[in-house]
Amino acid sequence: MVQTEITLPKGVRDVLPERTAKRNALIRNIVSVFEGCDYREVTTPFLEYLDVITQGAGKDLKKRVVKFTDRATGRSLSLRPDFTPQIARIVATHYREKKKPVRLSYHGSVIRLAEDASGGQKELYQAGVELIGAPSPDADAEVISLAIELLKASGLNDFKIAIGQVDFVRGILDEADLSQSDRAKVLDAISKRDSTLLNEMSTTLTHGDLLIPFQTLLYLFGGEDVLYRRDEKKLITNQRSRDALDNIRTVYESLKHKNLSNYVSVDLCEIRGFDYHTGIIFEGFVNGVGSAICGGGRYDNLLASFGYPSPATGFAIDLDILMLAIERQG
Amino acid sequence: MMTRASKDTLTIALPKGRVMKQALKIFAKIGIEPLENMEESRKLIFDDKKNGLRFLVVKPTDVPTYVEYGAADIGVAGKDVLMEQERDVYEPLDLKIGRCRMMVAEPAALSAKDDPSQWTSIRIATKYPNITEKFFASKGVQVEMIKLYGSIELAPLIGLAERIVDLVETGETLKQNGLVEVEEIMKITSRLIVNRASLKIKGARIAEIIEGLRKEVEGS
Repeated sequence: MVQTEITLPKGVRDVLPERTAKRNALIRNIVSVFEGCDYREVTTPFLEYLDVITQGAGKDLKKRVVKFTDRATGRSLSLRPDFTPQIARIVATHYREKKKPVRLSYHGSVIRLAEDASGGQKELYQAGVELIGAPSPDADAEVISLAIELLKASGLNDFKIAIGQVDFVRGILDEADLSQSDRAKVLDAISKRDSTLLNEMSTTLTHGDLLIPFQTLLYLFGGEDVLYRRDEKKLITNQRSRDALDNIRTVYESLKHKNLSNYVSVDLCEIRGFDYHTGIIFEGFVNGVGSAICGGGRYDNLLASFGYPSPATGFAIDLDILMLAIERQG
Repeated sequence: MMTRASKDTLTIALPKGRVMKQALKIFAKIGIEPLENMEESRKLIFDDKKNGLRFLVVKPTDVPTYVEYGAADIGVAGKDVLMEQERDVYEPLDLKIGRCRMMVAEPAALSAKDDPSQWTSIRIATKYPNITEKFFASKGVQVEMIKLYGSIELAPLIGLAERIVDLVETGETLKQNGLVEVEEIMKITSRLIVNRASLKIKGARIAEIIEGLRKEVEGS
């Protein structure tokens, strides 16, 4: 029996030669797909100052950072929780004068505190890209097609990329003009697709009638037809949501034009992502694997928090979930 | 032997027991039915290959786990279990079955001279430490938690804890053990729950099921 003193902390693990070889082969393949699309690989540190790495990040990421104190300065340090703010920092410091857009890729580990009550942390191995300085829907379509190409190149054939637009829900929420606590409740209900909670709220809210669009919202997932509903004029009465719908349509049509629409599903109700997301968001799913295999989206305000406003989009893939999906597919 | 469901199969996790019976009745109304009587069989998996359906019989507290990990696409779980475990699943529909209430209760003798508004620190025996913690934290009351797995009503009778948090259906068990309800934490019913990936991949089929069940539930 192994002595308990030499066990590992929760959420991390050794990777033995056989699996390491498999993983490396997968990474080489991914890097070559990235290179083929002009994304250049960068290496970022595993340690950052907490206040720097969480700049522009919402409270959801801040809560999940593993932190401790720098002995030299007394400042709080953080293990890398996410690559995107690091790439944003790199572009904001080293790429100011360079031609845009900038295409960068990375791969490596991130460490986050577990979301559930287990009290541990979790190490994830990610590979991803960031496309910075490109505001157009074409840029969103570019990174989504890259995600599709990546999953195909990794040997998966039965997957879906579910795309959404965070402004769609935010527009309806703004219009409803809810108190902060009601807004949080509605967001919670939307993220769980909990129509019961919305129903309960409709009796207590001052603008109870505004919950009708939320009820419909819960059903706005599926294929192309979700983007072209006959009742949309009645359903969407604010500009922000309308613009969001136009935006996601443009991205969808662009993907369709590339013959990729059979890999794409639409979910207008999705609000999951990081707080820094500002537009198109997407996640990749494989049948029988319960969690997302990759995820990403547009984050037009993050670079501004590093002193260099610039539109940006990107995504990351979770290597272990990708390997699981490949094994399951057989 | 592993029998993984194919991609055209919809896997439904049902909670063993009384709620399963009621859930099966509602599912049957929209044409989703196992080929054999699940309650009389001791099997745990029921396949209907022709209709692309698979039913799993699991412990009620395990249903959200099966659904979160994608081992089942959809399931039926009590709101008590969902609140306690906070699993990452969608819960689109209240099936309005398995009705009961989550209550704080204490012995009648204690209740007679007790004033809950004066509580600052209490000891509670419960199967639901997470729900209990959150409920009392919102009131600024510190709780010393005694986690039990059953026969919660016993705890105050023998001084293990002064009070309990538990599900109450008719109140008969409380009454027989000399306990009275102090406060309701929430009303409980069973919910239809859905795996995130399944909703994205099998969206049309799942939307149809949610819509069908909604009509049945709200019509009745």
